[in-house]
Amino acid sequence: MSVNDLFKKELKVVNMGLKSFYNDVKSQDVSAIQVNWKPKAGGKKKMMDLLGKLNKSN
Amino acid sequence: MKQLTALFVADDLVSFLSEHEGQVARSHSLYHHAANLIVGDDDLITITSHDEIPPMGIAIDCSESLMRLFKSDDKVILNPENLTVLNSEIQIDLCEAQIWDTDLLSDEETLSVDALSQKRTELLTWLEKQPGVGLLPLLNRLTNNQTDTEPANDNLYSRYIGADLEKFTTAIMASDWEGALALTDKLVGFGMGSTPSCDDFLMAYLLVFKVAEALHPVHFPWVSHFNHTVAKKAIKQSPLISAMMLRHAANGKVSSSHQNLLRACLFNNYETPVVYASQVIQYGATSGADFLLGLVCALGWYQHVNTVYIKEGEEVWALA
Amino acid sequence: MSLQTIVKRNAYYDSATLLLLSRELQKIAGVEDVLVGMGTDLNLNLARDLNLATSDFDTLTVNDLFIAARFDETKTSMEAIEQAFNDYLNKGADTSENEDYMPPSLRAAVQNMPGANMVLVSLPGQFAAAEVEEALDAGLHVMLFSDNVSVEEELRLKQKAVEKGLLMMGPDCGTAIINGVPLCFANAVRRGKIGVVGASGTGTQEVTVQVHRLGGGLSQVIGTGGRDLKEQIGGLMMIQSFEALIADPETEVIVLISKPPFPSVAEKIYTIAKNSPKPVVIDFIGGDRAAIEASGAVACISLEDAAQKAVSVLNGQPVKDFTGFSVPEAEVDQMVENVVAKLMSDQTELRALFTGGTLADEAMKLLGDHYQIYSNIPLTPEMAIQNLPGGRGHICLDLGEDEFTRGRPHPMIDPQTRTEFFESHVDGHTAVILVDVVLGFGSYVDPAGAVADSVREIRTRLAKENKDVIVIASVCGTDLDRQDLNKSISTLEAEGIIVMPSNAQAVRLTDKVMQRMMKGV
Repeated sequence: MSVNDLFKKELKVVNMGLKSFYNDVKSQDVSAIQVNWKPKAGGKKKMMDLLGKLNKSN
Repeated sequence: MKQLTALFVADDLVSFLSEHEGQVARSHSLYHHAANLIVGDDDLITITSHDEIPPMGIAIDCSESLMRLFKSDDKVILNPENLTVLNSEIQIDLCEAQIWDTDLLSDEETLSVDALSQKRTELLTWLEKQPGVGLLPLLNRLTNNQTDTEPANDNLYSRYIGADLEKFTTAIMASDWEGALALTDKLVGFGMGSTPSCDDFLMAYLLVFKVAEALHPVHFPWVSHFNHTVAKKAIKQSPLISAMMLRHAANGKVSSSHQNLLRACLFNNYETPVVYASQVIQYGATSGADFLLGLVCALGWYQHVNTVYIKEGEEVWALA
Repeated sequence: MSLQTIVKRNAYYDSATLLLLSRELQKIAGVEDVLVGMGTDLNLNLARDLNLATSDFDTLTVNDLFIAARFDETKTSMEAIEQAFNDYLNKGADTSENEDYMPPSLRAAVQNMPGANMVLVSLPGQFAAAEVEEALDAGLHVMLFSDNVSVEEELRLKQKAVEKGLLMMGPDCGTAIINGVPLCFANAVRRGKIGVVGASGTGTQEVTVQVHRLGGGLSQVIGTGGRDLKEQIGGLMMIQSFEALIADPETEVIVLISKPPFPSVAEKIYTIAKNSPKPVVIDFIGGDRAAIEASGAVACISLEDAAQKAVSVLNGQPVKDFTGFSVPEAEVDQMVENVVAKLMSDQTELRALFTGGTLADEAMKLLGDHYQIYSNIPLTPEMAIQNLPGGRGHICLDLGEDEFTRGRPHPMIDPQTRTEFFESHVDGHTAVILVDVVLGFGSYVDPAGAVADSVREIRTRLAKENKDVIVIASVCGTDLDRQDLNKSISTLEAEGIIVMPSNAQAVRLTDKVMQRMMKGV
């Protein structure tokens, strides 16, 4: 959707972060949804590799 | 059958699943972003729809509320490759998941006493400005923080427990482990919610103790006994969810946001504690705040013992 | 009085729910005391100490939830309390199902709200770029409020956005009004025919507010983030937005606001301005006037001037520089005489304490080189605040800079930072205090009240030395803002603060006062 298409559409907002920005948008009767965001966990190995090893040892 | 994909699996759950292949778990408690499953009498598996994950947890890719997705009396068949949720007809595929390392210890270098103190101050200054939920109204009292902005303490639970928590923190500072351990009788299981406030508070101590023990095993021979005694008390005195949480903490394991926060406070990884603290404080209204209060207190102790270590050398530690 | 307990076996609720629940139950008429908790021994002891225990306690286990209540049985009953408990939880379930469920990821959010087109990102900087990238890949426009995103990442993200024809406002973009919806820090203004692209947050706010007060309205207000016009980014977002406004049938006049761009970037913008079929008004705060005019655009001398010129152009009126005051100059001069008369001879210093960075920058540029002003955003390196000799001299601070906000909210959200600076930086040598008061969405609920409180405290403090101080303010806000422009002005004036209609006029008055002081009291 180009910028000029956006200007013709109803604004629908996804908010990631400060909840007050979501509340402000909501209070103007604009569609909005708040993401319950958490930092990603860091993973090192893949489960599949480990499962491969487990199956071999069985 | 609906298919869901797991993004992360905790490493302790990987070995648990291979040991419990084919066994049946029951749904225990459901929240929007988490479903707890119980295996046997007292092992909990947590399925979460966050990218964030606890020990014995699975993070799944899911846009729906888990309260809608799972049924309250669901049965789940366990396998290392997948979980099958019978009544809700869901299969969770684990094969593509990454394995999350539950070990709190990091290979990053430890901080100098000054750097530790700076990180703790940063956290404390930030915590002062947070709404006084849970035990937080006790912040200044427990940290001897000099400030004139004492928050109003309108919380029954925190008013009631203030004196006992103060005795506990004082005993720890004075290296009176037996005294502190005895005081936990009055703390474990106290407070609102499925993880009572004082359990969240104590969890922070158990984790910091565990790090101290791992870095300087000679100096903290009491940690293992202390941690496991608290975890054992929780099985009798606390709701199951909380008892599991303390059992993990006693072994140095904690959910990924808390893990990031502790690493930012204790290791030289150039991370700012406040970034993670602002995530942790969102947990279950007061749980996060109670943990953070415990953490600034426990870091105060950690900083203190590190100062002693540098000032007076190894001998003092050996005697402690 | 009656004392009873409700027990829910194997019930698990987080403490958020229980906390709100106990507050609800406490509100029921006739309920004197209520305690909600899991049935742990220690919680039950607390209930006993509060005289809330009943025989039901003997059957409770740690995995049970209890609600113990003491109430007046002529006014309510345990059935009513239980009903309220169930209602609350059912209501909780309802709202969570229909409204309040917060999906865990951007992807999940888009699935829950089909047709989503704008993503606001205010996550900690190190996590923000990855989420922005995901949003752009999904074809969504982005407003990136977070700072601490590297220039390299900004460039990569903006290139991607331009490729896809999307907005990527930011990083560190504080204000935008898209399709009439104010986002993050923005004021409630009329819709209209003036389109704005701004690289400086409070500068953009000031222009939109002044346009509104002149009876004009805004079509779109697009933020670019402060680094957009630097060499590395090359004005990617300003150019993309400028072109979008040229193509937008609702926009008739285009206003561009920024600090002076890097020369090659400025050239690109002048080229587009030259070819623009719509009139263009440019305020490159303190920038090259001749170059702007050579491009056929209207050049400005202040943010307020930019708003006035935009409205004049729109209405087909002649355009001229606004250098004066809204009230007759003689009135202003008389006011200057009156206030300067209150100062003692050792009161000579300016304390300009801003929450808006662009407003602070504009103030220093308008005061020009008549004064040695030390700042954390100095006009020349030697005027850095660290070089302030012995703490004595004129000071102008942008309190929204990182160095002051570490670990605490921006001073527009939380006035505490400025409150502390009023205490530490104003003393018996201070002659003039100059401040901004920024209203609107995102801003503190009563910023004028916070300034008034501080000024009252300062006056009490200085009265001990038999001194007073001149306080000059401008309010960046409108009558439609929830903090209300007029109410804010009254609050300030009630404390003897001189309120000017714009930042530029507040600065000009400050200049007059300081000129008058230098002539001697």
